[in-house]
Amino acid sequence: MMPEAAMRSPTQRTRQTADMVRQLSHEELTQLVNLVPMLRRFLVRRREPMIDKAELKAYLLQEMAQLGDEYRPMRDGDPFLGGLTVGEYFSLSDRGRAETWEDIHSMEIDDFEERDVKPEAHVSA
Amino acid sequence: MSNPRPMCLLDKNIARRIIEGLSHPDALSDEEALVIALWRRLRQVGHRLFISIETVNILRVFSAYQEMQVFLTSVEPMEPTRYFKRWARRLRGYGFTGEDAKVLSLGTFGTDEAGQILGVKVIITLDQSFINNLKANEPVLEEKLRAMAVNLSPPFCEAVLPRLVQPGEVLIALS
Repeated sequence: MMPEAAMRSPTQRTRQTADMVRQLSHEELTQLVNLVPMLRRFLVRRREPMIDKAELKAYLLQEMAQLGDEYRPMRDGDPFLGGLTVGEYFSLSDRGRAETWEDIHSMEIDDFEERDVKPEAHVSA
Repeated sequence: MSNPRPMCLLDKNIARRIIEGLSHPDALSDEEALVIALWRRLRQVGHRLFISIETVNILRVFSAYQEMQVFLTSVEPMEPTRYFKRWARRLRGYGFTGEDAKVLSLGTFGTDEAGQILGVKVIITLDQSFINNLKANEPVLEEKLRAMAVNLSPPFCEAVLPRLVQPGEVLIALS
């Protein structure tokens, strides 16, 4: 249940602050959270991670740009998962894509080949 | 082994969200953005990221694509060890789907290519019903695993049940 205060319309002061915060870079947001630690505690309590889609886009493009020339972007007519083309796959609904992944993960438990590990292997605990 | 890097296993829907996000970075859905933010953070802090060997084999067919290559170079295959099948079959008896049983068993009886690890501490999944089912059965499963492992040789006798966590939970913990 959300607290009553959180359900009321934002005040003008809240809106003005929100407008300023939206203009901050990720670095500035980090500085802001360090200057106002209660923001971090509040976000943790609300379980809402801060995510900047523009920054993620830049990260993804940078990751792909670092690859060698032997790799190329997917094109609509390229073969893809489940015997579909890339275009066909991405024209499916999210549910349809999830079902495609279910279908292609068809190995039964007994189909897997088991292997040994080193006796001194690290066990996560 | 001294101070191993933290490790986690990503379920196949986490892999799907990352690959789909890589294919349209300018139109990320909220869920794709969450998962990609987590993937980036885990890489930044030096975690070893695993996906099942089954998923790796499926995706490698398309490794010439930039999007797939970026993802595949960020992860390692987790391979089933001895006792994987036995434990997965037992998990099926507790309401886990075949897919859930495979992933959860791999988190306990899975290893890297060098055979130098056994299991992971954390499996990251978007599937809340999978998480709920483990929570509901955790005490009895821990008991069953202990009973099964007690007579096994090292390192299998130390096998543990991993935790199942949502991406947002991990991202907040790492922020």
